[in-house]
Amino acid sequence: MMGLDSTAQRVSLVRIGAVAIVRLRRLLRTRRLLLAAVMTLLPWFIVDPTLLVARLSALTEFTVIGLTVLGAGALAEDLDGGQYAIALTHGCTPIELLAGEAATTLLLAVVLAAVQLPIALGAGTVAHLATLLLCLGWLVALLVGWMSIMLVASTAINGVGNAVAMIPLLTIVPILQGTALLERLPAPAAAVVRFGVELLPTPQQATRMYEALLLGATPPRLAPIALVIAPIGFFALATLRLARLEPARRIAV
Amino acid sequence: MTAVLRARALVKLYYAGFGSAKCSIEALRGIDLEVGEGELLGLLGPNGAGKSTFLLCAAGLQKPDSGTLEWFGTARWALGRPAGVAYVPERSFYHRFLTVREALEFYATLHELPGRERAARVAAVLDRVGMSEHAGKRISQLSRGMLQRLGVAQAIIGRPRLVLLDETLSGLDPVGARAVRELLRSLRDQGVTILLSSHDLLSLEHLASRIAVINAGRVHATLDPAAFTGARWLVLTVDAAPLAVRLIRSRRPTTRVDGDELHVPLDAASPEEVIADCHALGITVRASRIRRDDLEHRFFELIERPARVAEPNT
Repeated sequence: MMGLDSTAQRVSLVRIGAVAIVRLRRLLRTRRLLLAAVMTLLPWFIVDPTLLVARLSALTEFTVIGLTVLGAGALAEDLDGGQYAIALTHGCTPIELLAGEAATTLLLAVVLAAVQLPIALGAGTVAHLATLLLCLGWLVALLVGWMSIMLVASTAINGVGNAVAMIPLLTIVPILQGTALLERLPAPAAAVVRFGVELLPTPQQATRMYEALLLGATPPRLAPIALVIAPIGFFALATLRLARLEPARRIAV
Repeated sequence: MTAVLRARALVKLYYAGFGSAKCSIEALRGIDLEVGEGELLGLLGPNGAGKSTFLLCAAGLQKPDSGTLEWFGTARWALGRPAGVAYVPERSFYHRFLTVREALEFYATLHELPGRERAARVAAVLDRVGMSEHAGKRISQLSRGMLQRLGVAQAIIGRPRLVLLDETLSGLDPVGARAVRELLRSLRDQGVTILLSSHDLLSLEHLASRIAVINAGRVHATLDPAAFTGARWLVLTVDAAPLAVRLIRSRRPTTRVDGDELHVPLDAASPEEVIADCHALGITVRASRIRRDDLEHRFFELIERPARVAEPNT
């Protein structure tokens, strides 16, 4: 019936697909994909080729950088530029928009990881294919998690600022995890910070899972939660924030 | 006439910054407005009057702080965004890297039109807005006039019942302006309800069935463009108005009085002759000015004096 609430409608795969295709065109036509490919492939010249864990860790770090280049700025541009508001007037819902944006960005990040894989595995042999596939599974989980953090950030930080804001996040986790910093804090505060950091889906979490799988190290307790459960929470948070956000907030005045 | 959009005591405040409770702008201060089915209602007001904010609220893209909004007699903001309402923003908020056809196909897909119907609808809309020849152009290459036409095209692709247009006629060359005016006229003639914000007085006078004058977040008056005759009046500020009215009306019966002002029609006399009459009748004229009975003069009269709610022009 005309005039009724459009946000109460079912989630449409057609609309998600339409958003995803527009996103793909943006990445292809604005040279962002090219930049992400360069940022991902270039650092391989300085990777130590001896250890498989080190190479998988490098693959993870570089792919996350590529994903950040593909995702953060463009996501927030869509929200800032008013295109998002116009899409809503055509019946698109926040969750459809986020899903479409995320699907394309993730797909391209996985393609970037696949392109790097021959380089990552080229220097040595892999003993167990199943173990390698499990490692790659954790890599994909990390990419989904990182994407969900970017979606939350995109609802809070404007445009290019969002992309820039994601870069310190890459480096701040190891700093926070360093004992020197946390030892200066009162014990309860240090515990809270440590717990919060442990719940972030970061490359460090994925690396720990690789070490557990390939070197037999003790598997970290919170890493699977950070890589599998937390992203669902971040995605829900992003959807909730976007639904509450006034789409016109950056058009008006 | 059925109300397609009804706003009651609509208030919208903008705040100073993130998390701030301090209101920096009172954009809408209690808007009361009703848009009937099939009418083209013009919104007229100076910059910062609240026109764009009202349109954003009416599009369901901005939530009012208080008051109510109803679409088609049922929906309210509390229930979510309205269906059947299209919005054309003042600036171009379209994906600049897409071609015109790709952009329209995107919006058509959001309405879940099947492939063949989608292509036919896009072709029909392109033809309707006169952009078929430019369908393959990137949006970043379009002129301002073309962007405004694209705005109308995206708005009508979902066959809405209510179209909200924010300054769609501004910044256009005469050819572009005429094309967009013709487009709006044909939409109106098809029964689409249109709410058009514009500074183009002449276009509003010719297109709109009613014009709401908005200033400082309030509707000051709702005018009927058909009532403007274009006649000239001499407005005299006089002493002892009641006596003066009786005297001057004995010679000029169509004279009107408004406070200490006399409005004398200039259809059969020059201003000098009217003032000479006043002097001959012993009326002291403190000031005089010419007023034309058209939208421009009425608009300036309205915005240069304190607000009166929903004052008719007839």
